Amino acid sequence: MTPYSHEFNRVLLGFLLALALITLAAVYWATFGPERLLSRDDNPRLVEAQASIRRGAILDRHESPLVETTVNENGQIIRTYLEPSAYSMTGYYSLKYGTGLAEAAYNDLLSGADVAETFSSQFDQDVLHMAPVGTDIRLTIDLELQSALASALADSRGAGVVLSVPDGQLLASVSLPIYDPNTLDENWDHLVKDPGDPFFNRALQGRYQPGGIFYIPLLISAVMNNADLEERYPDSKQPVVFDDITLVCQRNSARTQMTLAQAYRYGCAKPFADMIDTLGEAKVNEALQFFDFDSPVTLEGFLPGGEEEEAPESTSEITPEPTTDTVIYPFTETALGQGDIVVSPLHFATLMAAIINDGNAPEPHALLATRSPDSTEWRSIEAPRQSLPIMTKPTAEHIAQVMQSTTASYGLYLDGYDIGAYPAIAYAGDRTLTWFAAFARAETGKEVVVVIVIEDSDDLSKATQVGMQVLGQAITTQQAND
Amino acid sequence: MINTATSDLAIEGKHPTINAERLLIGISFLFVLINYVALMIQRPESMAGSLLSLIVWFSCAVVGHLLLNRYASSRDPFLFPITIFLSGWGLVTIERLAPTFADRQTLWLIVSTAGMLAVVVSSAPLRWLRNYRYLWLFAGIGLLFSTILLGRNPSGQIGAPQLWLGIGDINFQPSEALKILLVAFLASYLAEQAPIIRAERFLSGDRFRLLAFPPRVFGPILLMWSLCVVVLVWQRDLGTAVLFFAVFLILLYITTGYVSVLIGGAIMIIVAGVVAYGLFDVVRLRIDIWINPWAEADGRAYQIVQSLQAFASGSVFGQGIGQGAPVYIPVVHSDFAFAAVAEEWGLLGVLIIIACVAMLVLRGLIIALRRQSVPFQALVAAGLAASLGIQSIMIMGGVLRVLPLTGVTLPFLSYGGSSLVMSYIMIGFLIRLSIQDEKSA
Repeated sequence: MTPYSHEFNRVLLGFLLALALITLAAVYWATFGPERLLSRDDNPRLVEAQASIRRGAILDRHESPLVETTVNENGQIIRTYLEPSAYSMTGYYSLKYGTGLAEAAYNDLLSGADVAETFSSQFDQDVLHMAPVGTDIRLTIDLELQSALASALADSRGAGVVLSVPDGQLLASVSLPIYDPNTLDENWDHLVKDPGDPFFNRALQGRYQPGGIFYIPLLISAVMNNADLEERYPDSKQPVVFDDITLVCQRNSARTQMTLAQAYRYGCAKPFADMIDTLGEAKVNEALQFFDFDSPVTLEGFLPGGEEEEAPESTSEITPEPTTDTVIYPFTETALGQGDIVVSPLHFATLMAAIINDGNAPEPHALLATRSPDSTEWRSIEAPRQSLPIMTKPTAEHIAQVMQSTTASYGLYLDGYDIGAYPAIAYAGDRTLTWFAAFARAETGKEVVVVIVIEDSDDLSKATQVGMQVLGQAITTQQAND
Repeated sequence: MINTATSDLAIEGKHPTINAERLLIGISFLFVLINYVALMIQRPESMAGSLLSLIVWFSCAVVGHLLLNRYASSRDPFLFPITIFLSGWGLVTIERLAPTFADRQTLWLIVSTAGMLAVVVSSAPLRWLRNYRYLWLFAGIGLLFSTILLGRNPSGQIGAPQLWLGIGDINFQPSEALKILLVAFLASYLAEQAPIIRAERFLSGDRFRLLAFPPRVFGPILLMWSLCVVVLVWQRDLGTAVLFFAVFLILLYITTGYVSVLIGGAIMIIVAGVVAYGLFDVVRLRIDIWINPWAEADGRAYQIVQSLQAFASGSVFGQGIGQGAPVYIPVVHSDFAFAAVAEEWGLLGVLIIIACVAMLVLRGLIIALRRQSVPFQALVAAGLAASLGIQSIMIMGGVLRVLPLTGVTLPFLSYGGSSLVMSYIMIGFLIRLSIQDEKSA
């Protein structure tokens, strides 16, 4: 043994032990680290991973592109929203602020999280570290119709929906004002403070005072309770007063006694108030429960789900302010559309759809088909559930007849189609809004429903004009979709 | 003197050392080439710069190999291939992380290779270091001392340690040169005293005797070592101070054989750490974030937390060059190059680097063993191997939170011209000492 052998061996052993310790630490952080560390909020790689995802495209039912993902010259992934009229449906995607509307509802598909884990995709992601590619989706909306609806409402603040019957496909949905998702990050601070609430989707979230449009559900409840629709009510043109709201007939008539159908035609509240009195609150209330206004109809996943959501809360729900010193008929006020019951355009559209669908309200949905990244074929998506019966078939047919004859008396028509259209005013405090609800049906079986709400307006003719324009376009679209 | 027999074999390409080295360099070339190509595909705009770095690296490898064949054909077959492999990996890593620094590192590689070859070709450098040990050491300490007055930091950051001397854009860190000078000084001095110490130990038979040696024996080296450490502490280069102390302990242990040297030294380091914790903010910071980085993950501990996330992100096989996000680690190209390797080449890459470091230390100690008949040479080899090994362990341990961070670089891999040059010269000395057919000094 040479003089220093022993010491050299010990020094070498010491080094090897130290390196072994370092090896163990490296193995620990490389194997247990991912679970412990990678999901931390302070991991910027999460944002990198998110930013590298090539989200799927969003197209309309005819495969017209609405949203696409491109890669710029710096390798940066850019999400571009191509159609301003479709912003109310497509929503937004932002690394900083999350997702909204369709981008949120179908995020798992668009981000590739839902893509089946084949060996090829796992190899690409886990070994080659390629970013996931999302699934392309086709919405049920028709871009042409969407554009027509947006144009018709361009100067207004409000919402409109077009629903296909009986399948419940949402053909168009517009909410105004709306943000531009292409410049969302830059304008976020300004948008959240905008008094117009562009993040609030009035078509899906807007809970509006129904006002005169509620005569339709009242009519339904009367029929459901076997009320005599030929019964004439005296003093039909007498105003009905609640707090500081006075409901007068919305259209002129010489009649002083009206049936409920006539009261509906002329928009007179008194006969309906008397009907409620006659039938009793309990019966009317029981009938109205079928429409389930307390459980709003919406599109699953489109709207913020909780306090953690980024979108600001709505401040646009129009409800009457309570007062203390005038005549109040609590339930009657509600039943005449000026009380506690508020309703969204989409929800009312499903009620209108039930009228022309044998009493069955379809479940509205917006996803038509998907196409996975490694495929060229579209896979159709079935409707989420069967239609829900909310009234009997005879009731529905009866109401449809009343609505059609009323529409004819207004001089409104579309060649070759049976239409039932109804404009109405609602009061919310010192504000007014106009509704337009209509259906159109053809012998082919394809039918549409249109519901429009225009805020801060009492112009029924404008609502009618806008509504009929959209209805005509909608029925043309339905014919083309056949 | 060159052995003609081995030289003939070298010329005919049949020398086993040369063939082994050629194979290892070939494997290194493949590795570096593949990574450069992958990088160039992702960054076609900087292809020219990358290509130039690759060509320079390959040229250094070839020229180094050929000249070593000519002047040191019976050398250790692993030292140069490992060195060129790690520095090629380092070059491609710097190209990926901080392309603006890659050109500079490439130039330093040329200087480093030249420096290494210079100390291999001639026996004069080792002889000078031995014969003029005080002169060299004082020169090194003088340069170190001058950083107090003339020092600067290449980053230009106010408040950053001023550890460099420079002219224009060229900066040099004197503490790097001092690593070699101190090892040579310690080896020279201890080699002279070794017979006395060994004899005393043999006579006393006590392996755990406390260090009660005559001051005239250890006084000068303690004085020299203390001067180095004081200046380093003054300049807040505490990592290098710990490194010097550790190398000192190892050489002292090898010379004396007393385990008490290591035990006492370890206790002294701990005590010094406790004292420094109270005295120096930087030490307090580093120990606090070592103990619990999670409490300040967004603040003072951001660097170490991101480093650990890099290891987690890389997992076993890594993200691939250019595919990870190690750039989120501050100063990644210098202090945390190891974490960048972990993220992009995974645990596999990390284990390869650890194996290379282990191999360098092992080969250095084997060379030291073979040179025991000349204690100075043995101690120089051991000291240089220990210096490379300890520095690597300090930075790898710091990055992995096994040890507190110390600010030293990972030899050959991290960005740093002074570190690269001095590390290559260390390897040059080891290669020189590994030549089997002659007495080097």
